[in-house]
Amino acid sequence: MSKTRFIGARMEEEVYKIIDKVAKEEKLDKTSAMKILVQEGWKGLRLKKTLFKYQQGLISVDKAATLSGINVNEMMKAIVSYGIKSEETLEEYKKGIKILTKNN
Amino acid sequence: MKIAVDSCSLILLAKATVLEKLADRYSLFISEVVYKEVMEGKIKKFIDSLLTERLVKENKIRVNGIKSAELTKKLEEDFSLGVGEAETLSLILNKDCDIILTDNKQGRKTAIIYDLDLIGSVEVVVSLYKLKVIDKNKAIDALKKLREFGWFQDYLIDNALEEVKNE
Repeated sequence: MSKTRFIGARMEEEVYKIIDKVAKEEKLDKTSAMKILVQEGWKGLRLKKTLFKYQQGLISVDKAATLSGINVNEMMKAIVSYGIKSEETLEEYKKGIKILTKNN
Repeated sequence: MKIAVDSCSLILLAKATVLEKLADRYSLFISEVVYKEVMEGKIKKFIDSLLTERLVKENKIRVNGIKSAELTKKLEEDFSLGVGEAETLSLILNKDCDIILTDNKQGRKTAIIYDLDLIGSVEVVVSLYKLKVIDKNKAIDALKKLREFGWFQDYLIDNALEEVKNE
């Protein structure tokens, strides 16, 4: 069992209601529900941050995947669902075809 | 023609069901980390992982070790690349390959800066059709799949579809 630490926190009624709802739905105590919410929230936040960095052209897909703790395939799906598009131009596309079809 | 392929393009072309045709026509090379990245999907039975595994076993795609860890590290740091993308670029910068195939934004940017021969998955489909490796229906189907699974701008896919339909 991993070491645990105590944290006391005040929260708004609406946040408390979320914890209560998750606890009831998942048949857990409130502490376990909070742990799940923090972990899932962290995953989502981490993914959002790396997607933003990828969109800004600051990191590559595989680096974004590593930073998000998911595989490349899953990262690609996240990029598509986030609506981020490739910046490939028609000029690059035409150049690519020329490269592949030369001497053939 | 030796082509260095990154994990994104490998995955996209496998999903578009033209990866094997490409491997039949050209010599494809991937780095060890790219192979590892793609195989991470095997546990979820992703088609790209299963197909890549078979093509590597059949020697249709070769997995290459990297000659210069220093160069890979430099690329990772200078361009904020993951190890797989940096290794793919190393394959061409070390003259193990002639062309780089990547649809990765950051990888493409780096390839342009180094003035490398750069291709993407959309051009692969259209070129395979022009070279009569795949027929019109297969090319149209593959481009539609790239639109569905990929992140390509509509104008790029529309242009490619037009080119295939009018040839």
